[in-house]
Amino acid sequence: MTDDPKDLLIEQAASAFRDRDAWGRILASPAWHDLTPEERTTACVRQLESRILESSLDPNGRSSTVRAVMKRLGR
Amino acid sequence: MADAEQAFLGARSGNADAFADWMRAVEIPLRRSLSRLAHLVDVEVVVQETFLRMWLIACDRGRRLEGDNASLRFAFGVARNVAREEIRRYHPGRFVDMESLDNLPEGRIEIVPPDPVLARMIRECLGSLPAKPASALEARMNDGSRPDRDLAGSLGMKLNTFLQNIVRARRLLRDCLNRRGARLEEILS
Repeated sequence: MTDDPKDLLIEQAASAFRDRDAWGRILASPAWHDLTPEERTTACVRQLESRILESSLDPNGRSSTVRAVMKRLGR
Repeated sequence: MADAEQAFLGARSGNADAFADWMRAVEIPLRRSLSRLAHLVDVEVVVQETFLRMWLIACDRGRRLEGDNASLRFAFGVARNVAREEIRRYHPGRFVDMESLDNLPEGRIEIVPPDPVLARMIRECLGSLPAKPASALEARMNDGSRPDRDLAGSLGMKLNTFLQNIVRARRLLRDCLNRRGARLEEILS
């Protein structure tokens, strides 16, 4: 497979998983820091596309973002 | 059909499922509004942090949000503050006109159930993909709140291979949906 490395970074930034710092604050994806402003906008579109696909397939209509927050709330 | 404000009222009694319904309704309009700041902030961070703060507000019995689309308007305000904090963190000294974020949707935001036709098309298209790309994308879509490294490991893939498979799967899925008349570009717009 010979994908553009930038496309892999954009895909990484499209994930709903985000690390936290020692104070519990959500951190930007490490991949996001390596993107140019234009690529960050592309990553935002990829995130939106991903959330629509995820919620379409989830029986409760929940995207990965909603599920990540619910997990954070302990639900 | 329930709307976002009814769901938020339900969440005030600590009902997390009602709060999940509220998030479902608000997420896409919020993301669309934040997209104009996407070159400056990781929108995923802003959305998740906004939701966590809104849960605290929902559980605060001493606070009452009033007016039309109250929870939505408040959430957009919270998102604006979170975005401002993120910009300060990553771009100190940069001035951004936050008023441009006030792009609230008009009217009620209804909680629309998942579109069964679109879901069926996505499933059929996923079923037509080569096995490895399909398994990588399905892992991400089903369990995307876990780190990619963990998802890759559970499939016996290296992280880079996992990401390559997702990129490939997305391209094939997009083509398949386009052929069936469900253009992602139109769904996104």
